[in-house]
Amino acid sequence: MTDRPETPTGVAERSRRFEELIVPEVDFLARVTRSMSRSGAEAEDLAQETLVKAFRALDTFDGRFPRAWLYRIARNTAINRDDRRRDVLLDDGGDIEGTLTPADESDEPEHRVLEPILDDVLENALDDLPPEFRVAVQLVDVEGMRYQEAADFLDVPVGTIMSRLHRARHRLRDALAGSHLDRAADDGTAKGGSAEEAEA
Amino acid sequence: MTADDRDWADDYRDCAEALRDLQFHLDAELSPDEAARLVAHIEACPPCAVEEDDFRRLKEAIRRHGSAVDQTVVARLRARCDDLLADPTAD
Repeated sequence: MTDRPETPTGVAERSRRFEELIVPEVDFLARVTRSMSRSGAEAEDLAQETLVKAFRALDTFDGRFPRAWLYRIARNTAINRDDRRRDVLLDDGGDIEGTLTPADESDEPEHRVLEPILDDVLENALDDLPPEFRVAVQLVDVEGMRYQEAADFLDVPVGTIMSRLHRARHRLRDALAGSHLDRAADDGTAKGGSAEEAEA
Repeated sequence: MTADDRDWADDYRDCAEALRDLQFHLDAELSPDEAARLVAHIEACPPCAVEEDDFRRLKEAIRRHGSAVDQTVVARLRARCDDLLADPTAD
């Protein structure tokens, strides 16, 4: 970014690019920041901050992959947020365990369209995934990316995406055992135990 | 021929191999021939059929869950965009 005052033309161009490249990705940003956060409120704060940073830094963006660019801003913002939180907790000198409260569910939307019980169980299971696993799940299962697309998006090898995604799914399936996804409990069908263990 | 006399000539060595392909199949990352081979195995192997059903339902549940965006949040984010555009020299 430059320290020189922006010209009227520069301001207009930045606004035009923001409307063209960033505003259409607001829904994507809402989804992906939710996958990075422990609550809806935290996710919205992250999305808001990402939009402001994107607007300020737009002259550094080549315009080629808006979603990937927004994702990187959000991810770095989330990392800094988590670092600040950890620093505050450490500097506080108080009871860290006591301050690490679970995600505040009171601000969650009332109008969920999914089955409530499974949705809560799934949300908790997703929250328990390592962040890199959760983003692989988000990009492939929610955003519908192919493995190579997701790998390019995150700038990792395609084998890394596959490994994270498949391991995440096994963890989620294990966490959801006992919910209505567990067919074995419903109809007594035995699962291939040795095959599962080998896969894990 | 295997000990149980079924023709597994085109089948997998074991279910672990099939279950590895299952994950790729869920994401449509197998070739048509590979997918056909896996489907044939699943149709003949009840434990793998259960796995396939579980993971397919899990993938769909994840998709529905992750796609459910609170539209009031989206509206507030769009309003923020409007604020930035209305006063681009602020901050």
